[in-house]
Amino acid sequence: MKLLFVPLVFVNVLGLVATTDSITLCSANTCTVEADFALAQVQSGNFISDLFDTSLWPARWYCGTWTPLHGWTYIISDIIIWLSYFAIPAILVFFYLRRGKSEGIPFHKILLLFVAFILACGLTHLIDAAIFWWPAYRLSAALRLVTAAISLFTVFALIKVIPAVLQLKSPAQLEKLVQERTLQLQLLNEKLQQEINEKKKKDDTLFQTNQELMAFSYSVSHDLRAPLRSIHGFSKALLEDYSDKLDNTGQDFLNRIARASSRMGELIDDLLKLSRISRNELTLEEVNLSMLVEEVVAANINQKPSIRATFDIQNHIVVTADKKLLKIAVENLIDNAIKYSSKTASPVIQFGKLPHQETFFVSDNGAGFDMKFKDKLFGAFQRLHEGEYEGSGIGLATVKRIVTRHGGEIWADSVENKGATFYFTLH
Amino acid sequence: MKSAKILLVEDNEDDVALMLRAFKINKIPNEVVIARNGVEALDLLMGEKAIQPCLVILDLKLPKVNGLQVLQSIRENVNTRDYPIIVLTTSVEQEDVIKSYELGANSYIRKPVEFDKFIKAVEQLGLYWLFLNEPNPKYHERR
Repeated sequence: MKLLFVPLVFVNVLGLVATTDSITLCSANTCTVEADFALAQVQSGNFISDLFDTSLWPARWYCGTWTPLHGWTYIISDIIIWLSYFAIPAILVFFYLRRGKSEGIPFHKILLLFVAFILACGLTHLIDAAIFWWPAYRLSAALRLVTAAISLFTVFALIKVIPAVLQLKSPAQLEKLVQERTLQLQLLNEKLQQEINEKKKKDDTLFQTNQELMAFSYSVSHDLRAPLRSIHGFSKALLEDYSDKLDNTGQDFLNRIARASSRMGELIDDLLKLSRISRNELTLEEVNLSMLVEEVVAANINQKPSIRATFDIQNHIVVTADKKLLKIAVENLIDNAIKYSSKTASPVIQFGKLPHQETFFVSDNGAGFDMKFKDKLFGAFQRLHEGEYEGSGIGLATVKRIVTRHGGEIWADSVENKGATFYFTLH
Repeated sequence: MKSAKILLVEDNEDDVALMLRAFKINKIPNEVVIARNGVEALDLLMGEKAIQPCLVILDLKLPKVNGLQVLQSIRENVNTRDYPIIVLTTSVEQEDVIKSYELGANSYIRKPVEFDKFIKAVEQLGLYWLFLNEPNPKYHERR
């Protein structure tokens, strides 16, 4: 900006010099006007008509001796100066309107002062040219007064603003600064990229470890089933073929072995299911969750006509999810709701969506749970109702894993013996 | 009446014993020929003294040549390719199930841990494949 101001100041100074020159030129001539007649006209009382009064002076052509060359040089130069002084502010105003609106211009008030003062200077030159035919010296004086005031004001404003202008960076300084910043940014970018790479590497390792762990747990639970089958099979065989050689205690022991191995088989199956949920890729699609819940409820009632619960299912809830996994989650939640409300007088199970939120819920009015155990609810093989209700304690862990795989969350709210509500989100 | 043979391909001795017991309990009269690994199984089916079983019960996890390879070889051989083959295994790995069907298994059954269920499974299996299902008359040894 500093560069912009310097030529403007220069132009301005030239303008002043030109103006002063023209004053000097005219006052050096001798004029032939009748003073008495003119003086009578001075005090008409009307400022505007006084201003345009030309009776006191002759046109400049008749004031002194002008050669046409001299006079026309004067006139044409003045008109060119006036045109230029008109064009310069127009350009400045154009610049101001274009740039100022979008980015703002520093010291724009000074810029507007320049516009005013160059325009004023220009007008004095126009008058000077006109005076050759139309001796409006009063108007000229008034205009010069205004120009002088604006110029003086601009000088002070400029002095005031100079320290701030000095603070402005030159293009070279700016360039250097930009380069420095760019360099800093590049370094930062590289560092960031490095961090991203490291994190990605860690993620990859983590992913691999996780995969290995899943494969391990799968193969372990897989391999465990074979010996378990032997334990169960042969204890049954003993019971069947050698019961006459075993007393009641011996038979009871064998029964316990068979029961325990069968239970362990179930646990392993559940573990396998859980690990499969984590291993398989998600296939996302639009799923009508309301219909899914209805299907699951219908299947439950079909399988167990003794279910007494009333179901209240909100319609038209559509989500984007892996349908297979979501069905497993819904099955577990509905199973739980049915199971834990089975001892209630009139069980009511609800499914729905919270208003204005992508949060879904399954609620029942059954046994509920103590909220102080709410953190244990979703852990694998954690059971809050051991013995009272059937189950391996893997259901909610499965639901949680499915919800988490969808990038959602699950939480529960309950009052003991009043019921429980499970809330979940999917994205 | 001399019944056709069943080929049981199984490396786990306990599972063999349990299987034989399940056959006995279910009163399945067929002679059970046992192969302890894949090589033995292929030898029994395609060797010099090849048998023509009415049913092949095949485990997948086998030493030497695994079950899927045995399955593939049976299906690739003109003489054996239409034998009914039941995959009976511990694995429920989806890949195993898909691969087995791709290779032409007639059925895929998972061995239950509980012996009662195991007996039940063998009963249904025997009932279906040995009595209900009409065998291919091409093989004389079958009945």
